[in-house]
Amino acid sequence: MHRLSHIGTRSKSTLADKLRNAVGGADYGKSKQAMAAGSLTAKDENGEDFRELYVMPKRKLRGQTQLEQATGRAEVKTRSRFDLMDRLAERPPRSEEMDPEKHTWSDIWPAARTFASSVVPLPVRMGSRPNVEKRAPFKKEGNLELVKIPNFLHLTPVAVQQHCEAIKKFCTPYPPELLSDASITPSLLPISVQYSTYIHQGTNIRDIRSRVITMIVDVDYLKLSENAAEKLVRLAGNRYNQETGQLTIITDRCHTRKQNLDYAHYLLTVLYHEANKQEAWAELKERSDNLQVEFDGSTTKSKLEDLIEKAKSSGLKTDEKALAEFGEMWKTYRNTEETAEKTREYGRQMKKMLGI
Amino acid sequence: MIGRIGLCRVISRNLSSTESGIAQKLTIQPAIERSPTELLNALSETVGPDTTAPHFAYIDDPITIPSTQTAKKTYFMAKEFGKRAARELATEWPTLFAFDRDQPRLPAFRPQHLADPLQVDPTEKSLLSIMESREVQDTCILYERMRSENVDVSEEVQLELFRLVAYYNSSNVPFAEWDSWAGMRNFGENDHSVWNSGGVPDLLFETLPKTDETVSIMISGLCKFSGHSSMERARELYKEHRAAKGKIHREAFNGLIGSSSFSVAKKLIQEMAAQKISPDVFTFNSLLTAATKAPKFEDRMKAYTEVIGEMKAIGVEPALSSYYIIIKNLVDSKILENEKRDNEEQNAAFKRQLTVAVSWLDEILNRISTSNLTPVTSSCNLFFAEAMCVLYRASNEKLAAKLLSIYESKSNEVKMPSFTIESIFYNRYLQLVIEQTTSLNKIYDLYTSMVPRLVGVNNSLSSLIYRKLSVSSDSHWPLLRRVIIDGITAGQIINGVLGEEMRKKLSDVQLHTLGTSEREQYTSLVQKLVAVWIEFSQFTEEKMRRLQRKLSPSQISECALLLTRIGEQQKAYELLELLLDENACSGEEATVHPKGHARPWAMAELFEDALRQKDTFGAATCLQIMSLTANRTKLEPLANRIFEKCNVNPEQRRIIEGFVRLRPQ
Repeated sequence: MHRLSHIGTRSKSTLADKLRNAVGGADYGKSKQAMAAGSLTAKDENGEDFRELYVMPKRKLRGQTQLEQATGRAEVKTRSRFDLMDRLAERPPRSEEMDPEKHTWSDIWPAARTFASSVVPLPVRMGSRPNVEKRAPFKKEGNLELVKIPNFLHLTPVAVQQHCEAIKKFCTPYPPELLSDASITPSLLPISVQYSTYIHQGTNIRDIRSRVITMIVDVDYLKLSENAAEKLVRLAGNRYNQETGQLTIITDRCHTRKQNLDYAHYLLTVLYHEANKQEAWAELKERSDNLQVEFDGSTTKSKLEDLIEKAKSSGLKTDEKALAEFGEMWKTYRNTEETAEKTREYGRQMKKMLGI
Repeated sequence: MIGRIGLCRVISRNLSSTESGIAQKLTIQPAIERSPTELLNALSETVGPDTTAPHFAYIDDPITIPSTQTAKKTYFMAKEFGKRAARELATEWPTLFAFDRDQPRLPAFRPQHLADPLQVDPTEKSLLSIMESREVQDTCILYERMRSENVDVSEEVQLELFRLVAYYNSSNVPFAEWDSWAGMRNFGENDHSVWNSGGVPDLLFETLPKTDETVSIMISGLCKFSGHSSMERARELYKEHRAAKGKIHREAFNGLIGSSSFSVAKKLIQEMAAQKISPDVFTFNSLLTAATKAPKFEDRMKAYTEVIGEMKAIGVEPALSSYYIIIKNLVDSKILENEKRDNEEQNAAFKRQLTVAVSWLDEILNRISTSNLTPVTSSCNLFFAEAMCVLYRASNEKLAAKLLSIYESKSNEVKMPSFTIESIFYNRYLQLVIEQTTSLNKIYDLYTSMVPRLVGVNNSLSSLIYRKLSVSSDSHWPLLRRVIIDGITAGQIINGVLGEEMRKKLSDVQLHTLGTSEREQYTSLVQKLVAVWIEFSQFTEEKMRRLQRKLSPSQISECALLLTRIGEQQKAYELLELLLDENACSGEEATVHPKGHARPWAMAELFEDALRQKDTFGAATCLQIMSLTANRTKLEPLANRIFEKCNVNPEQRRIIEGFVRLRPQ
């Protein structure tokens, strides 16, 4: 049997530790007690050191450290990183010291700019969450969604007003005649020309789409005769809008906008003059060539006339004027899209005409 | 890409209809004439400077905004060197980096190497092309090569070459004249070079016939790169040429005047007048430079007055550079610095000279405030910085405000380079205004609008603000916070004096007067500061030793106090225990300075705080720390207080009494 003799060393504990020990109880400072007990060296009978049997290494095993890290109980020894001065150079975001009394937003965000979270003093959030009540959407710092979308922070109402005030001096007054009565615009300015300009941020500033010209003409103000108007409509084809009475010419066949504009004017002129020309073969036009089905000359009219005659002779009260009215309704019915209302109107008119 | 639809109603484009044209006439005012950029100018007038932003040269992100002058220089030069490296790569491998989609063609996308003077054909044409590119050293090499190969160079080309190399002293264009790289232009410094004798200019001077022009060029060159021997030679040349009934040009006269003493300069002026050459602003500037050589203040004053009077009489408007020379050299440089003034006499002389300087400056400012200022020489902008320095020394806030308004007005086109000289100007102005004002709100507004956009954070500015905060009766938390944060970003945290100021100011803050968000800011600031100081002290590894800043006992006590203020009792006591831990003070892993002791007022407050919370162990720690510097008589009352306030059992009581008894008397 080996006899062990202890050599204890006096530990350098603080006053507070001593007080703690004096409170008593094995719970306090177990590790401190172990320290107070001193280190242990043992010698055997012959004065040789005790050769300890190697069972396990005197360190925490890998599995144990991993467990500790996973559960968060690991004692991480914090090491100071050498880039400390660079990390310290980070300033707080400048939105913190923005004051509406002292700064104007249009100075800070004068033009369109990608969203910068350190500059915008608003607590905006953006992001999709499965349960918005439980977890709020992501905050603005480092939020890519806020960066991707266009923002209009440069167009606050105040900024827009300032811009308007600044460029007012280049504006001339709107024609007062048109201001007072906008409906006379087509009569004074019957032609409207539309074109687009494209701005690119890049090495190539040209865009081929800017050559397209759209010219819209109000045909009534061409003051054409009936035949001429009809001929114009036939010539224009699907460029003429029946409902609005507008002729739309879209040209893009030339390279430049100016050329296309001149071409559009040329087309309009040609159409106009061609519409006014009367060809000899136009005399050969028959009822079936009409653009719209006319009531006069239709079999419906002749049949109705017969019917009215018969009704008169049999004594039913009929209305002569109703035939003209019916004719108009019939023309509308035949030449426009059929709706339920129009059909009902047809029935009403028919009954009225026949006196039923 | 933006699309804009242009809508216009076309009026009567000659429709040949039978009816008369448009019945009503529209009153359409003809469009107001405007230049292509007037609209944009009008819109840009609505935008003012953003005082919260950094300078526009920097990326607008908290990490990349520089706080100090050195950081500004580093970041700007880093960007510039990156661009230069990219340009070099594009020049070296043109096929990899040529950008073919540009319409119209941009030569900037296809940079070329400079022509090598040893490889090009030794013809006049290549010489002229290299001269165009302003590569002076390359032209010298090429010229010497052409001479050695006996290629003929015509006289006109030789004269052109002579003009170029004499102007630049056969060395490349100095930094101040670089037009493409702004960083090198502003931050690069050329030493004053002396005339290279025996180089290409001297050679050309010998070969070319001696006309007025060539002699003038030579004299000007010798004076521009002045050294003792070159000045001698210049004067000799002048005397020879005058004896040969020649007339030198004004620039040569200017050079000679600038490097002579005032009396010699006056004689030269008379000779100039005799030859019917009228002086210009540069002549007067050289006269002023000559006048600065007078050692006595009164002589200089008299000389300056003479010159200015002469300028007025002739009708030459003084440029800002003239005023610069005057203001810079008026006060004796020997008594300028506080340290160099030994006795009362010198102090009185300094005050007198300063008063004169300020009154002259007042007059100068009155004169320039009414006119449009345009740069005449490259040193015109230095006037503002120098004037602000003088006003700072004289503590004249009114004139400083006037100077600032003149500088920032629209009629002033003379601007200082941003990161070098302008920051001196604004730094002086800021320090002057802060010194003269007592309102903390005003200081806060001015400070936040100027730092770090115009002025880099520096130690003197921060110390000034701390002083102002101590002197003022009311507290201003936002200002204190801003100064401390700026101090952290500028690296002042490792500066012992400023670190102590930060801690002192933070401990002076009355927490109950702050609002909730401000209290949170206080808490986070204290936590950050303590964490940083601890991290600095923990660079114990071999390689990082030079970064280590050990904690001093006073620092520890103050930090512990701040931590208790924000409620982190445990951390505070962990920190305090470092003072009692021997391992922390010595050896390889030491993080605490062995010398120095804890602040008594901090320890007293910690002690009181522990007693209030009836924390026996905390109080005992404080007692032990205080015992390191106090003797038994001081400790006994403290021990008694512990017995009064806290529950101590007899065992503990005995330990404490024993501890106190063991202390020396």
